[in-house]
Amino acid sequence: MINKIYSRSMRQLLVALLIGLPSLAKAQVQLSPDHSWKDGSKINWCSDGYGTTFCLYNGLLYAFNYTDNGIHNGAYPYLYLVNKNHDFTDLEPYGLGLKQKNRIDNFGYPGEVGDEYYRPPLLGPILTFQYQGRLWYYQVIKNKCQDPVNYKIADTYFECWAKMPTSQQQECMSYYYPADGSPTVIRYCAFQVDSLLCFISRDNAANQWMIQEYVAARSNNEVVRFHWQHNITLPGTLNSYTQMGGYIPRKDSLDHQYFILSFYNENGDARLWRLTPDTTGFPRPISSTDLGTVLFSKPVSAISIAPGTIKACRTIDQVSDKYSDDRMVMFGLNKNKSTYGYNMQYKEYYFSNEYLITGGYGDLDLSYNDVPSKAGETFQIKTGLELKPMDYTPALDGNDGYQSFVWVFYPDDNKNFHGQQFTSDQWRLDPKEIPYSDDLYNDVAYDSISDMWTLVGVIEGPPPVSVNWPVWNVKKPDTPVSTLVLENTSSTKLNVVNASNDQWTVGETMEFTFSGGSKEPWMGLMGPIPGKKGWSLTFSETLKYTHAQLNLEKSSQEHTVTMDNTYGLFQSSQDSGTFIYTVPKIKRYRYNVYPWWDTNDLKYPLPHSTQYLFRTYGMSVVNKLMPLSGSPFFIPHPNDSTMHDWKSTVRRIQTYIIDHDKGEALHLDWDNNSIGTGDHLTSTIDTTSSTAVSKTYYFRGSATFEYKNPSIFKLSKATGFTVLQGKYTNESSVSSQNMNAITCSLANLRLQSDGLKIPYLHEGVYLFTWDQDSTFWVYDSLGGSRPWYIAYTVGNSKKMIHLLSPTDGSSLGESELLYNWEVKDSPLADCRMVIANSRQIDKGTIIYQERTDAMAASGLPKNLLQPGKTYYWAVTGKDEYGQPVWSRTWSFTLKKDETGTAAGDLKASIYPNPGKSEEIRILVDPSKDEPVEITLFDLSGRFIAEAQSPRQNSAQAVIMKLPSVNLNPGIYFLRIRTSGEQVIRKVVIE
Amino acid sequence: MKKLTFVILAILGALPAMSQDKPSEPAKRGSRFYAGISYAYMKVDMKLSSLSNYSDWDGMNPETRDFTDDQVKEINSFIDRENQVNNLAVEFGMKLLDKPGSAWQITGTLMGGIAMTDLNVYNKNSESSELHLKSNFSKPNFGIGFNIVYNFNLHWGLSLNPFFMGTAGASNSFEDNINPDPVNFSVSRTDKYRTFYEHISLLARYRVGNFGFGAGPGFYWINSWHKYTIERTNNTTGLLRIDEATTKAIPRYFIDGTVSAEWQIIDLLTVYAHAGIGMDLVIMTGIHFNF
Repeated sequence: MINKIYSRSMRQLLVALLIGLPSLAKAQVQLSPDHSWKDGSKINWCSDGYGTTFCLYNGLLYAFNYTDNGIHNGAYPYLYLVNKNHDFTDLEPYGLGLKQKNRIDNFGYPGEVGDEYYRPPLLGPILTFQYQGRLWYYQVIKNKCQDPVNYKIADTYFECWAKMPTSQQQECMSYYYPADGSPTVIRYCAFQVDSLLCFISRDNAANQWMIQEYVAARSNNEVVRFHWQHNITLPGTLNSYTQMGGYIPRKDSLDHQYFILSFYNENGDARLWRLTPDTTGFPRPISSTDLGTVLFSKPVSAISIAPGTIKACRTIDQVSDKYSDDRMVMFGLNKNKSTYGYNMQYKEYYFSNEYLITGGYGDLDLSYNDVPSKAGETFQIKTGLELKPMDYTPALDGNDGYQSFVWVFYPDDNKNFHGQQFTSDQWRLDPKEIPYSDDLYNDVAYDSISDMWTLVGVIEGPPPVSVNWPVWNVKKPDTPVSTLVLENTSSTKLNVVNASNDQWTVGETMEFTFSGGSKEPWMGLMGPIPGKKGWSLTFSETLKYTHAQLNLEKSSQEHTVTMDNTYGLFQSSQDSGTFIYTVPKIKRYRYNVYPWWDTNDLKYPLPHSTQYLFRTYGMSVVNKLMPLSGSPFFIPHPNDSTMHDWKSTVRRIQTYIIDHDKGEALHLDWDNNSIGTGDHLTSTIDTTSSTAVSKTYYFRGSATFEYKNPSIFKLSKATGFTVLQGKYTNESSVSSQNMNAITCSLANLRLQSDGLKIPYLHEGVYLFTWDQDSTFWVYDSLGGSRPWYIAYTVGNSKKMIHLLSPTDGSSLGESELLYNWEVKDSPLADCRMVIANSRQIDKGTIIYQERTDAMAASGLPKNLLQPGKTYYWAVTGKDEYGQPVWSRTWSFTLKKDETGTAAGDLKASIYPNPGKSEEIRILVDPSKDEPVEITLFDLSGRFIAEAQSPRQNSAQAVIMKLPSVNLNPGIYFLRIRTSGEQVIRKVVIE
Repeated sequence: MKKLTFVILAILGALPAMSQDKPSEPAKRGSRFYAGISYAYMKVDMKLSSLSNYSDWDGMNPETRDFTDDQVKEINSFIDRENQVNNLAVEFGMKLLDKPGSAWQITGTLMGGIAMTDLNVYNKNSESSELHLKSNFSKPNFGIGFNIVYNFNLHWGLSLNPFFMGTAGASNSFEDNINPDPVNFSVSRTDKYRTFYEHISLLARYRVGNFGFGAGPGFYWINSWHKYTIERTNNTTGLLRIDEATTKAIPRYFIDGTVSAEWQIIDLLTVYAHAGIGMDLVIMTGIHFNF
């Protein structure tokens, strides 16, 4: 114990010597600020105690000013942005909420908003701090309301809290708590330690500094619950230090957080103090070290402290101790006024192995018209940090770093805001060290690397066919039995858009704790960081740059991968489906904080300032064969001669199809002695919704054994490459576009004798997407991935539905909207015509359906369809096994020019049009039970032929052929007439 | 100093009683002109009457700021401005009125020469010098004075001595502890000044032999104008930062006790000395060649 005390005393002595002696040896050096600024907006610095402060939050420098509104209507904190555009313009009000007010007046205390002329005085300084990733404001004011009994101002005080919103469109979350009597404990600064909010406070009655710990109440997230209180045991003389000049959060070589606190008093003395919270034990042990007196050359009346180097118009040659780049600076306001006002001094400090060493000191050269003055009865100078986005290198598009500036603010004689700006550290990447990995597809070389891949599509292979492979391979060598094509042409492309978020490490250890993907990225830092001693690094000086980057710059990169594959059914692929992955290509950028003078060689990075940015710069596609017998396919025998396992009656997906009325995306047919059909999604299906995917890859490493790892996870060391253990989480969102670029074909099928085990084949091709089929059970088995999924079912019967009119992709008026189809072989049961607003027909997209056994339908309610919009229609029924049979899905677009026209009741449709004269059909739906007469004219109006339909028993659609005359190819007109109505249609004969 | 002033005033009060009813007789009549050299020293405790600052840093937002009377008053409460002037001049004088038998004599003097001005601005709060400006002993000065004498008798008389002196120029030495030279700047400073000194004294004169003595109250006024300019040129960027303070100062006090002595060594030569002694100090001495 004695040794311990002795050691501590010696250490304090050493620290004091390190701080004190150099200043005695060094000569004063006068510095001039890099830029001077005076606010021209005539906003008055708060004169009421300590009601003005500045803070950097997410890259923006804010000013909070407790003052009235100019007509003595109460007093409120007002918000401003300082030098927002880095052009030294005036303070810019920072409005919040719907009204964009830049004042906070919703704490809720009595009399807060009114006409009172009484301005509630502050008790202690106003504070801003970051807690739980958010910016907070705190003030204590005296009650402004009169006591109703004796009509005096009530002797109560209100603690007012406000949490700044994440969006400027929102209001603060504000509240207050009353405190009876005049509190004797004044709070001077606040910061977060773990989940606790720590105040550095002074009990003026007890003449004692202390740390007060508070925690958030989980019920409403208010910071109210008192947790513990530590007294800071200062040497007796230090209790005379009655004010604080701010603090600096730092971390040591072990990533342990500590704080440099600065104190001063009315006698003009200043002192530094180190506070190191520990993480073990309860109550939390807090060690503290007296760092000694700050020896300014003249007595000071106020001080303020700021991290970083300051340039002050110096050149590199004029900087001493260039390797001592980890610095802080303290500004002191002279206690004695000069002719022109209260001048200022500065004092620089170096950190060497976390020991504080005095650097240069001297006076600041200020303009005669920029000299500080008192604000009311108090002396005030405040420091702040400004970050200016910079485009340092072409290695990254846009801004890739920040130049920081140290500001010292103060009021002048007229209480106007003044500030002196000093160029400070830079946060930038080293363009000489940008390793990349474009081989992350190599799951042979890198264990578990597929954990980084994103599953974007699943196909059950090409369309299944039962094949006698020895025969097929002889008769049609190297010919696929069937094909599935993901096209890449100028008109049809299947694109996968993958937006990947930048990933940042907290330190050099590749510990990824936050990224730009989450809504509040810094929230990821709230808890103790794994592997550390439990201390949050949320407010590390280094991370302020990352927070700014995430807030001000684009942190998500979008890459489009075009699928361009043909999947053919061969013997080798008969048993496999395919998982289609996108694989990122990633670059790693090393960021450091550098002193202002290290602009070219980047030789003096600040200790412990290294961070890595992992950015996805491209994507590639990997196809991974997966056995069809396994999940999610469950096709035990894909090449069974009966194709039993593909039958709709046995497939698990059929339940979902039936339950959701899901239509076929494509339909394929083949009969022996005929050529198999192909089908193509002919209309655009944009899946605009995207799904967020988080993929985590664990990379291994040790100091003694080199694991095979991608190069981006290797760190360059003096002794060669090494890799550290860690995990990389790739947060991205995936969306697929233009799903029409899918073609399935059985065109290579003709004769069963070519080696086919089946005499005919009718297949439905189903497309499942997350935005349409989020309840599709397959997604449950894909570990959070949300790929599109192409599945096949084989029909049990030969029943087929052929759509006739309106033809696919046609554009027609409402009077032409007649739907016609035909069923091959016998009629289907439960026949329905459906109209959907998406090619993917299911319960969610069907807007109209009509149950009909007829082969035409027209009874759409008026105004159901919107002109100019494209719709999809199909017909379904049930075969003899009770399984659904679907037609293909066709689209049509309702013409806009039909809008508002008084369409008659006579509807007529001609298909195909253009077409051969013998193939053209005229579908007419008369409103009454009467015959329909058609008359054909040529382009010059000359009569050619006419025909009449037979009288029917009920008013229903009739299908007529053109009159049997020889027609040359060309344009004709067809008059369709009933007794009361007629329509004219154009017919094109091929 | 107050005691001394009191003594002088008492002497002045007694002088009429000591005078005799005789026409005065100058010691030597006949020399109408004189020429000579003189040396003067003045040390005055000044205060600001106005202060105006002009600043233009890096060509952005040039601004002039005029201090209010209250602000000037506050500055004067803790700032001492001590102004010293040394000057060496040649003088030429003539008797403008010197009729035999008349009790009146009027003499006029013109002077011109070189001067040195020294301004020290001292902060009583910080107990340190803020600014010390000093010129070489080479700046022009000029003056004009009159001596209006009424002789009661051969020994006693009264003289009224209005005197005006001015000097102007630029300082050559600068010691600025408020705005010291910052690193990486080339700093040039200029201080242009004008100082005008007006003094009038009413002396009781007593002559005996070749000696003459005088004592009486003096009243004085000083107008001191300085335009002090600092130009700092950034050695890297070449940008210029200008600060300019224009001050007008006046003495804190305006009355002193004046004593004079002269000795006509021979008919052709006269040496003299005048001193205004009060809260401030003015001494002037010289030698005249009478012709």
